[in-house]
Amino acid sequence: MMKSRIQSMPRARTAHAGARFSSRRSSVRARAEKVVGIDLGTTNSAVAAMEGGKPTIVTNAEGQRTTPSVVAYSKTGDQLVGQIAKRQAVVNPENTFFSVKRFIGRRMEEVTSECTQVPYTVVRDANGNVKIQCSNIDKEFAAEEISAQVLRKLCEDAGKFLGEKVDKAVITVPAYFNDSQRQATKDAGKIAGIEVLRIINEPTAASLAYGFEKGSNETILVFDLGGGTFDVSVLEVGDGVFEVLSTSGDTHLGGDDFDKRIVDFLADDFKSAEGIDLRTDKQALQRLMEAAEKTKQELSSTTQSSVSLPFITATADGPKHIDTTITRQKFEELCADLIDRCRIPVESALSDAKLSLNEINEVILVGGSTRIPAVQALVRSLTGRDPNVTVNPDEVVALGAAVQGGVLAGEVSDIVLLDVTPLSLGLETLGGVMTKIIPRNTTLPTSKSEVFSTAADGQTSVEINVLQGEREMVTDNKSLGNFRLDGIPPAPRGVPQVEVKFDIDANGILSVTASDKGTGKQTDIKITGASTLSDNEVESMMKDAEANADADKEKRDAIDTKNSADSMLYQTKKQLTELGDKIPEDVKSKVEAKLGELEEAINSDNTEKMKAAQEALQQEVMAMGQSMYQQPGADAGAAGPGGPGGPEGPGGPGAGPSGAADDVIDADFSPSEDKPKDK
Amino acid sequence: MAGSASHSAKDLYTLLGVDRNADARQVKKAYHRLALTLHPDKACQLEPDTPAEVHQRRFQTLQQAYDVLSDKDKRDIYDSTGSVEAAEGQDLGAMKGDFDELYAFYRRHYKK
Repeated sequence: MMKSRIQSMPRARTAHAGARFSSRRSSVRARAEKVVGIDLGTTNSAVAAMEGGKPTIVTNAEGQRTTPSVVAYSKTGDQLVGQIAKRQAVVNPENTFFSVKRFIGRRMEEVTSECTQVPYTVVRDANGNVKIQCSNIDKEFAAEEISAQVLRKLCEDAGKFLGEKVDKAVITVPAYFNDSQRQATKDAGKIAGIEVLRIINEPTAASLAYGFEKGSNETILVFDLGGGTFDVSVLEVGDGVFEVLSTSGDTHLGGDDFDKRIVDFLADDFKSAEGIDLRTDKQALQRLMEAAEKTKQELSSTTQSSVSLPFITATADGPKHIDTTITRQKFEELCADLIDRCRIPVESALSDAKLSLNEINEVILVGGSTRIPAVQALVRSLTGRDPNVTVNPDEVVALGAAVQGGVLAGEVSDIVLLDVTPLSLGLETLGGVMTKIIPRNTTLPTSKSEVFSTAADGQTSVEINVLQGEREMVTDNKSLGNFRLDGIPPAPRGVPQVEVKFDIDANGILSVTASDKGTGKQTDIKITGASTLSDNEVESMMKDAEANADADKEKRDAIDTKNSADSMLYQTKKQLTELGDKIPEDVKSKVEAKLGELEEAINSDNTEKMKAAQEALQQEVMAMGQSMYQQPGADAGAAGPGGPGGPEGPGGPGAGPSGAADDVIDADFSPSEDKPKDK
Repeated sequence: MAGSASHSAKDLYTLLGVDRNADARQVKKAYHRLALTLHPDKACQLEPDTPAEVHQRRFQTLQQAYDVLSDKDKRDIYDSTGSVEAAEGQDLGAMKGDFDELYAFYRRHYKK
């Protein structure tokens, strides 16, 4: 910080003084602001910030260290986020949106199996992208918008906890997320009104939290099995450098899938006994899912768990119940293939890093699903060592994101993160084959240029299909969109030379620019078929969200005002009765007049009037307090608390007329007053 | 087209600031030390007035030098031919003679 200030000082006096000065001011201000780290999880999210040089988890408004990534809309159209939304899921399954991370930045055809697993309705929009239907407010949401609502709550709560506005964040994504999913996550931040300073990979973040303050040089493997995704990263940590050597994963594998197996087991069992498929009943499905998650969690510490779901449905014979027991062994049998799927990414990450198992110094488990004993056993058998359990798998990712936030804000100076792109980037070439341009595990940021020409005489545009993935054939990889270059000057085929530059920034997000080598002119690029929102859509969603947030704030303010008005009314009335005729009659009547006004304001439900009436009453109550102390025999020494005591009003401590607190107050108030008389 | 200027005065060893017979560990150490100032996250704090693309290009040049010297096969080819292109087995679009510029940058930040 000092350094940058000294450097830019002299320049401020040059001819560009105005511009320089403003840029200097903004850089200083940027450092003073808090940057939070957000782990935006499939099922749960967490926030951390650098406090006193250390990453610390920030608790939410409910006092919890993690927040369910759930958004719901009630029948009356109220928006609920977090625990409160999760709790009402059973009675409102169609309007309670969870696990939306599975849909973010995806096209409909990529998530056909996910769509059937959730009780809410997922539809395809005109572009083939995923939209989520909300019947209670009759609206279709993009997954970005739902995530934005979670992000907004997280930042607002963090702002309250930290005592300053939070609008800058580092957000984590699974390492194996592709370009569209990263871009969509960044858009979600933007919709929430947050400046996303960086998107970082979850396993990398975990390693930052683990290796922060650790001086030693180590090669570590991070095994991150979360609610919906699975990542493996191999890193080398040393000299303050966190270098990702390789990354691998599976974006369709997580704790949700384990729950699904239990749900299916219970539902199949019930179907064969009763002939009813509970999965077609949204409410029953929601209850099954909650029971499954609970059972799975219990089976991490006990060897069997009972499932009791009374009145799960009813037939002509009467109500039906589920009452059964699942053993750990049964659970492991149900999930054997899922657990086995974790094997491949570990092996490919190691081979990409050109390392053998005995070169790994530490294995770090991240994500709630790594609590499953069978998963731990697999890690043990794969790596031949006991995994490190010193980090909290639910919190370590957010902590690491906060460290990176500190690095970007200049708060943490001796650390740098060298991350890689998880998937190869390439182009479609003749015969539907993908030609790779930037191979996977290339350190970021990186860029690469290619020169294109035309195939026909007089052709003025070229279309490029940009792909991401490891497979040979175009159709097996993710298309990031068709980039069309327009405005090429007409020329014989093969003559125009258009240089296209592919940049992958530190977020792992691609940008494409093109220029005509002949004219040096920038060529226009139009993108079609991308599974992300356009700038216009993001913009309008942002406005939408802001308007809703304002409305919510107003609603909130109205409720808060009414509550405080109610309590003030009650407290003052109580005070009046308690003090009775100790209050001079003229003072009392004034207070009563204002009480009446406040009561009227409350009854008419007018927020502004309530605020005004409270203020007026406050004045009278203070006057009343003063008059009490001025009465002969009262403790003059304690005049202070009655006056500026402010919001506590009549109910506040020390407002009592007697000198009961004399000894305690003595020292505090001695400068403003002589020794109290009764001493 | 790219290489001719790039290894005229400073070769990859000078670039990383290591001896020609430095072992793998020394190469890595040097790379880490340089990454701490050359990575755009750091460089933009050290030299806030330099455009972001320049920081990125410098870092990428370091990255490519390290890619060659940290891979035994590539390093062997580079040692015998003196050509980065030959070592990488491909054209290097991004290495358009940034070595001098890069060298100057870390001289500024590594005087001590």
